[in-house]
Amino acid sequence: MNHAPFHEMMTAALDAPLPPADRAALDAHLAECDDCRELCEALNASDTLLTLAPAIPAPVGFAERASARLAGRASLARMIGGGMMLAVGTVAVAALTINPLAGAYGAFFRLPTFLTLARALLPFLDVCRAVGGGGWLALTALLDWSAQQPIVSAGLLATLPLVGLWAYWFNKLSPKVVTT
Amino acid sequence: MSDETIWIKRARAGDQEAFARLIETYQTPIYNLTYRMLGDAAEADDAAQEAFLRAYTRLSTYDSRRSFKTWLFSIASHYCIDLLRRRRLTWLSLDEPLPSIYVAALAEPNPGPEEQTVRGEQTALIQRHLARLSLEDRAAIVMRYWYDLSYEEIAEVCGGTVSAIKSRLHRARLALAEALVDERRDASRRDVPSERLHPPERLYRMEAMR
Ligand SMILES: [Zn+2]
Repeated sequence: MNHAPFHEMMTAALDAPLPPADRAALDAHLAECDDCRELCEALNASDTLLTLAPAIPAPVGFAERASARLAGRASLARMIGGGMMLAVGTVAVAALTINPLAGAYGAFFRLPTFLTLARALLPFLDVCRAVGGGGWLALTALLDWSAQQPIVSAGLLATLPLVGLWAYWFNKLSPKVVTT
Repeated sequence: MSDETIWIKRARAGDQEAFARLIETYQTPIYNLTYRMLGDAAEADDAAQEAFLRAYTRLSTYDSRRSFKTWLFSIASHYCIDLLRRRRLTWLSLDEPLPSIYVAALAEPNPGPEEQTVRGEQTALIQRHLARLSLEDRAAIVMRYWYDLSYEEIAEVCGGTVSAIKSRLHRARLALAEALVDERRDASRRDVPSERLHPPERLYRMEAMR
């Protein structure tokens, strides 16, 4: 015998009352099938258990922690963006500096007019401003972040002596110019 | 325009304060969802926070003609499913003996008032049964029972057609009932309290075999 149609009726009955014909067929089957009766009873018990189960409330302070994490993640993203702008800008400055140098080499043969000099200088200034902007963005984001996360500000403070230490060792390791 | 619509609009423009209001409003539904999916308080806390972060970064993809709640549920339940799927792969490859999320469900009931103990046992029982379901079936059951969503809304949250959701829920409910029957049979056979019936290893094996 195929019991699956009765299983369908049993779960359907959890959502809405069955049509009378189905209800009667199911009741007749349950009266004679022990397995389906046991399953039907368990379905109802499980349904009741889940229906009565309350939602588990968010722990105390959840919303504050989630908001702080959001703010931290956002300033981290800004810092990465700023850092990338800074890197791209630095490369651009280098490229633009090389260009006038090459121009100066060319000028050894033919002096540049004022116009060509200005033309080379304007994009150079533009890029310098962009690099400054990127650096500023990265710096403010870092400070923002450290204001929210004590560990970041601790890290920032810790970098100061580290930089000092690094400078000291670098100075020691680099070859001394011997003056006689 | 409702408060919520205004907060969504402002959050979309980058206002984190406005999004904080949305977090306050939905913290319990989202936490309950991640708890029911993962079965561990600390995991659920972390996953719920991540779900809100994902929602914030994806706000531009939210269609304001649809329900914000179901959109949020969809992000949170998919996050949990991804998490469990990734973790299961790791577990299988590392062959770790036991995932901690099922241990929590089996933890000793909290000391305290009797009602709290009963509630804790029921929560453990429910989580044990939910852990036997496939991840997609689990999500559909959670949507049905804790959020009272229609089949259409569940399809929106979980993906798939309404008829697919119907058969998914049918299958999941049968599996939950069978879990209950199994537990009762074991209990009468061994005459032990039903809370101690399923050793975590067994749950783990089931999860891994699926
Ligand atoms: Zn039958």
